[in-house]
Amino acid sequence: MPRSLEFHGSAAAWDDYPVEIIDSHSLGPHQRIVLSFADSGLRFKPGQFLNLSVPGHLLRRPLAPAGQHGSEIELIVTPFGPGTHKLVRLKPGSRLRALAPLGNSFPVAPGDAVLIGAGAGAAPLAFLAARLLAYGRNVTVLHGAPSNEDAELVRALYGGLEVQLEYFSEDGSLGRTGLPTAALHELLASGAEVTVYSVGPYALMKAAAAVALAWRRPAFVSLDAHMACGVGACLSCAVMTKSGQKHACKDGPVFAAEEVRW
Amino acid sequence: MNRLEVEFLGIRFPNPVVTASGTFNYGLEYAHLYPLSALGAITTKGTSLEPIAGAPTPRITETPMGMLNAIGLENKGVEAYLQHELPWLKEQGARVIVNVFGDRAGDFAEVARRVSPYANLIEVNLSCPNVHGGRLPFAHDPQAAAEVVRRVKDATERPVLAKLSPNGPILPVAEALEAAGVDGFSLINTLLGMRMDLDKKRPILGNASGGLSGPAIKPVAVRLVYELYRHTDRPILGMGGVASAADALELALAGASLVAVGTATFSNPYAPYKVIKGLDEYLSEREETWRDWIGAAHTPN
Ligand SMILES: Cc1cc2nc3c(=O)[nH]c(=O)nc-3n(C[C@H](O)[C@H](O)[C@H](O)COP(=O)(O)OP(=O)(O)OC[C@H]3O[C@@H](n4cnc5c(N)ncnc54)[C@H](O)[C@@H]3O)c2cc1C
Ligand SMILES: Cc1cc2nc3c(=O)[nH]c(=O)nc-3n(C[C@H](O)[C@H](O)[C@H](O)COP(=O)(O)O)c2cc1C
Ligand code: FES
Repeated sequence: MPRSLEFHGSAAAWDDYPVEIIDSHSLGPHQRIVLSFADSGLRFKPGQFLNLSVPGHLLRRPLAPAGQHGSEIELIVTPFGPGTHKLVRLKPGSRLRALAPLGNSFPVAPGDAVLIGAGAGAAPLAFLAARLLAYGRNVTVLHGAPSNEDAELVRALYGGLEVQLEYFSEDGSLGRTGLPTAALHELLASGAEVTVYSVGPYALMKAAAAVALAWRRPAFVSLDAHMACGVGACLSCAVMTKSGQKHACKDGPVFAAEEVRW
Repeated sequence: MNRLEVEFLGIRFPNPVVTASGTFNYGLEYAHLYPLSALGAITTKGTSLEPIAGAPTPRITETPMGMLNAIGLENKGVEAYLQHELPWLKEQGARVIVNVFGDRAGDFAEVARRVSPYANLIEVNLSCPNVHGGRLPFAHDPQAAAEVVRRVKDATERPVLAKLSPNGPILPVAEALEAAGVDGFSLINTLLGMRMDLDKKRPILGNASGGLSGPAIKPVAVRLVYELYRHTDRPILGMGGVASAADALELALAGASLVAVGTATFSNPYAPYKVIKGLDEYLSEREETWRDWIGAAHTPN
């Protein structure tokens, strides 16, 4: 019936998949976890996420893949509360379940790109970088961290990619001293006609969005919200946009920066 | 033979498993996993006359064997659901329980009147604040709650369930609602609770307090359904922490004719479907029916 079809829109056909941890190792304060989706045929796009079960926990945890190789999905998990602490301690061979693929993805904009991130935000950005390179875009990555603690993370994620990587540490222990948003400002002030993509703490994305908007460059961010269902049913992940209240799990997590009410 | 079939307030349900309000939205998100018509019924997200934006975030946080939520009754308002979701649910062949609430009795009634063409049952959420009345939510003020039920009964031909809150005595409220003509009861709504953020030294939830749901509250639900069953002749839709066939059967023994699956759907989106399958296997093995179990804990040995 036409009404149902129209109303269905492009509702992504996510499902609940059995997954197995096939590799897990530390990258300083982060953990790289590789999940096997067996022969599910599932395909993630950069920016999409999965909602992963954690043994002993009622709710799943949303995580955005850093890449996909066949049926293997690479995750970066930064221990935060009890659920993510448990996740990073799980051994290869652990079997979990994942709702996937969830949410929308980053658009591949025409022209070159600047990716500005921090912490595990580098995961979906690295996935995006690979996609943008495949489309022939030049990609600059500005990664910020409190110290040199993310050295292993950026090497693991960006090492094999032809990106221009600049590392920023607040304490000056690696790369440039200060925040990556300063470099974004310089770049855009020099007239670079780039699209800006940012994933990281709210304050970083907000600052990156402000710089991009000031220079009238398009920008996309991935909004973080506490999630329960991950699929649009519980209404817990509300985010405010200029076209009204949205839900990060279903309408996002990727939003145009100018759409967000920061 | 369908061992799960049950008649509830004159409506034939193919099985007793329904979704709990607020945990399944209007069903659209899960419709590609299994046909919604395969469930006993869909209970919609709480619906009010006007759209409500809801509470500040964070709106959820996990607790031992449960979760706290303070969604703040976000919904698009009855008009939007009449345009899209309700006709769509009807097209799916699903049985529909519309959960309604309002600031005042007349608002509940108006929402109930408008959704009636699409509803098999109306569930009245009494746990919301009585904005224009006393300090208590409707659920804890027998007179205010009875007024809501009277107005809703006048506004709709559909059977009306009153959803009771576990955060106060339920029997005086249930008695007043019976006098007001309520057709049945659903319980339990969430238990009020709070969690603190040690770094911020503030409550975690944007709304400070929230409602506890999930396995942690199941014993409370079983106890309250049991208690209510002994005092009423009206049928009961039981809920609170149901995640398996065994959980559903506990509520049936206590006195529930229908059971709702809520928070379990967040852990496993197939949970309502799984409970139906589990009940079918369990009862087939024993050559029993769901109806045999309703209130069975109350029969003398
Ligand atoms: C779309 C999306 C993608 C994400 N991708 C990654 C990633 O790739 N790597 C990574 O390390 N982290 C990622 N996060 C954040 C990660 O989900 C949280 O750190 C994690 O859920 C916290 O769980 P916890 O048990 O450690 O903490 P707790 O505070 O104990 O979590 C309790 C509950 O709150 C929810 N919650 C708490 N904090 C967050 C948060 N920041 N975001 C969403 N839900 C939260 C949890 O899901 C859980 O249900 C992502 C978040 C979102 C929304
Ligand atoms: C996220 C969430 C939203 C809810 N929203 C509503 C609501 O709008 N109206 C209502 O009557 N109950 C609402 N409830 C309560 C549930 O319908 C149910 O009574 C309660 O969660 C207990 O069942 P459970 O333990 O199976 O979840 C909500 C519960 C949750 C977890
Ligand atoms: S997490 Fe449930 S609606 Fe977004």
